[in-house]
Amino acid sequence: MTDKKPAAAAGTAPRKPSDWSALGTDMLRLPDRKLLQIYRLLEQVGDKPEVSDAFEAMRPRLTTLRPPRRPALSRLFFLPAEDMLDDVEHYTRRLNRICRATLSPCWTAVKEHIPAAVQQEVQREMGGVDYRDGAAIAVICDPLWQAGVEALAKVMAECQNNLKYKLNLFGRDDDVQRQLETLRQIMAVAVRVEKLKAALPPRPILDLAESHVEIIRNNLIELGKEEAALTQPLMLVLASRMQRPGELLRMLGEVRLGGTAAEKETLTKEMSGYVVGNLLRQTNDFDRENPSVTGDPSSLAAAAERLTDGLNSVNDTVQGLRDKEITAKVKNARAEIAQFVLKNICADVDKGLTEALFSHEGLPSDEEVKKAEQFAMALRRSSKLAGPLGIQREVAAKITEARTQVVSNTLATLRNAPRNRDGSMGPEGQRQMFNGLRMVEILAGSDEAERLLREWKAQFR
Amino acid sequence: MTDQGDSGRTRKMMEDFAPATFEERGVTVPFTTPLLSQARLRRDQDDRFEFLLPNFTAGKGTYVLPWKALPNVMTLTLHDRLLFEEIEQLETHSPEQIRTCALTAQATGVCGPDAATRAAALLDQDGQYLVLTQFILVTELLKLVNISAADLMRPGMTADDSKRVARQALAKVAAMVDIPPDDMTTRVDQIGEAVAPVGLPQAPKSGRLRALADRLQAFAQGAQHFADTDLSEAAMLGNYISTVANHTLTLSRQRIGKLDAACRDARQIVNDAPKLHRVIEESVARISWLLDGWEFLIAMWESVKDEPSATKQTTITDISRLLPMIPKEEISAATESLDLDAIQRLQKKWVRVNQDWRTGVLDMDAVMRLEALKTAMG
Repeated sequence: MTDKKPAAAAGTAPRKPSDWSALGTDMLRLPDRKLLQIYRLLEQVGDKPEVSDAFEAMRPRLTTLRPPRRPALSRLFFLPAEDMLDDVEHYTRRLNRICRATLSPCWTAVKEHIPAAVQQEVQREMGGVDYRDGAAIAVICDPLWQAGVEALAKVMAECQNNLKYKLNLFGRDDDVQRQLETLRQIMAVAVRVEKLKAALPPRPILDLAESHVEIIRNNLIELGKEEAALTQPLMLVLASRMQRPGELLRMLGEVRLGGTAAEKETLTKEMSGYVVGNLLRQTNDFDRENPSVTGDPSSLAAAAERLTDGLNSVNDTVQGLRDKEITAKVKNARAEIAQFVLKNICADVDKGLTEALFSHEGLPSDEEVKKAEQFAMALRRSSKLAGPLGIQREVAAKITEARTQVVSNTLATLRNAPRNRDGSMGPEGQRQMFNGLRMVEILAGSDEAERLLREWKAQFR
Repeated sequence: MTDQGDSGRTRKMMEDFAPATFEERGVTVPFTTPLLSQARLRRDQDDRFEFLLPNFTAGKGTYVLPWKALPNVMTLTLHDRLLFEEIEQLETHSPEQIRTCALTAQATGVCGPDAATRAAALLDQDGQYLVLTQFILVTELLKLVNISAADLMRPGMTADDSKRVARQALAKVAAMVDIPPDDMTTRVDQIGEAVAPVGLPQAPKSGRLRALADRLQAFAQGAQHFADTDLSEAAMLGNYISTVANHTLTLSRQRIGKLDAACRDARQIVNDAPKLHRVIEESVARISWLLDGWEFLIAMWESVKDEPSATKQTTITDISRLLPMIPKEEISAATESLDLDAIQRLQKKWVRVNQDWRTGVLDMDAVMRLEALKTAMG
């Protein structure tokens, strides 16, 4: 071993830490774009202590610009499957999901089968790319993922043939084989997955523009022509990114894939099973994670709304499947969400609203009004869910109750509010009136709020 | 104006999109109904109200609807109904008047407590700034008779003493042109009111529109930074926004410069107040029209400054659809290099859904997001 400096550090390059620090300081004078370019060049130099001086000097600007950190090779390897990952406590078998605990041993085994040259080349090329550029990363990592398909097949075969190897890596659970197979299938379409992710809105995808639908269709058709089964891993990833995965199932029904009609039917059925199963899993998690609700009721209602939205989107597909088991499961899931909404959101929301708005002497504070708004919003969200969940009657009754309380309390306040000298409503009364109208508008709509405004203005002129 | 490219394709130029005049562009009304957000109000040929709705088709064009048709097409928030009642009372519809109506409606609390508090504070600030502007005008006039602001605030003087000295000095100024002292006070009041939205250059604090121009500059820089560093196609929209913002800024600064020059000599208040008043009114109106609609866009952009790049990309697309186009009467060649066809195609790629069309039910979350932006506006 020698203590010679690397060649790159020789010649005119700055040698002392202070030089690197000065370089970093000089760079602060550059415009953002140039600074980021040089930052990325410096990152390619690697983790050298002297370079860290430059990074340290640049840190104030980097804190503002927030350039993405260089991802590790293992992270890049699993990137196409990132939407399929579940934490240990939320992982459910047979839904084509992957438990995060599997990743570390999987990488240990897989990297042994991926040529070192491929790994080095990917790392080298990643140094020259912006880490937010999904499409560019897809191109660079393609060889890694291609090698990964073979490597995963080898690891799976080894697990099959060598119990000790399997036990050492993954333990006794046979479910790991299924997870590795899911990973392998995703790796086989990894480039397409990543390019598609880069072209679509970020997750959770709420609404697809026409151009997005076109991109997804084209991908499904192209993959289907190669082999219909290849569309499945792509759809699994996409479905996990969408709030309404049922839209994807509908799209699948509309496109013409390669293969026979029977193959497509099987594929649709399997995909529907996974999508519905995944939604049911989220419903279970949702209920489990909120055993005693103390948080913001509006946020809880929003979470219930997301799940119901997802379940609604698969309605047509589930009916088309004529599968009693899945239909029953969906029905149960709806019942669970309905119970959750009634028990944790609707139960005391009217009391909370009234207390926030009317339980004080004088005007409520801005914070109290906002709290009342949150209660009203929770009820409004629940009313949107009521139809699909079959709880219209209960929610409508609760809304009527809350609205009646707001109206009667506002009226009482207006009667007692100080008047102006000319007998008209004073500023405190005006404010309380609009606080009440605001709640009525959220609960019962703008028309009802306007009607009350006219009525109250006439009454308390 | 069009430009025939090599491919035979007709490239759209900025002027193809630009309205002829500010009146044709319409004045922005800060409605909270999502589909009405940033709608522009103008009069049709028969002098009836009509609205240009940039959000109605999610980027596929601007719809023009008469006011009376709106309730049949969408559910309006209570705030918007009250705001329109205020607007209907007006005889003319300038950005400044619409702003006052909007703040009056907002201050009631109809669109939430934060927006109400903000509106009350802004109305109060306007009042205070008017007093400051009028005070500066008075001190400028007093200089004509060799009395400085320090002379009004000498140690031992009470407030009444100061007022008395100021009144006496103003009377001397009025005597210069042989008018009653009260008339001079009225002139100061009127000129102060006219110039206050922009403020005087020597004021210790910038007037509202002058400060907005500074914010527009920062916004243009932010949009350009986005264009330089973003990797998606939305970068082109960032460049487009920055170009239009800079163009607007240049024109606004020119107008502010002219206004400052007009206000520089206090003797004009004495010698030809009506002319000065006219010049100020015209300049302030022009600046106000130029900057109309930008404040909301700046607030939109500032609201996502800490958000991930995907949110910024969507927001930049939304902003690009709402850009206040500079009328042909003001337009210059600065934006002609933009490929507006490409910009239009990009705008259509990001589409948001605002309202459930089948039920006409308001998306209250979207309403509340718009209300929150009101608290960030001046």
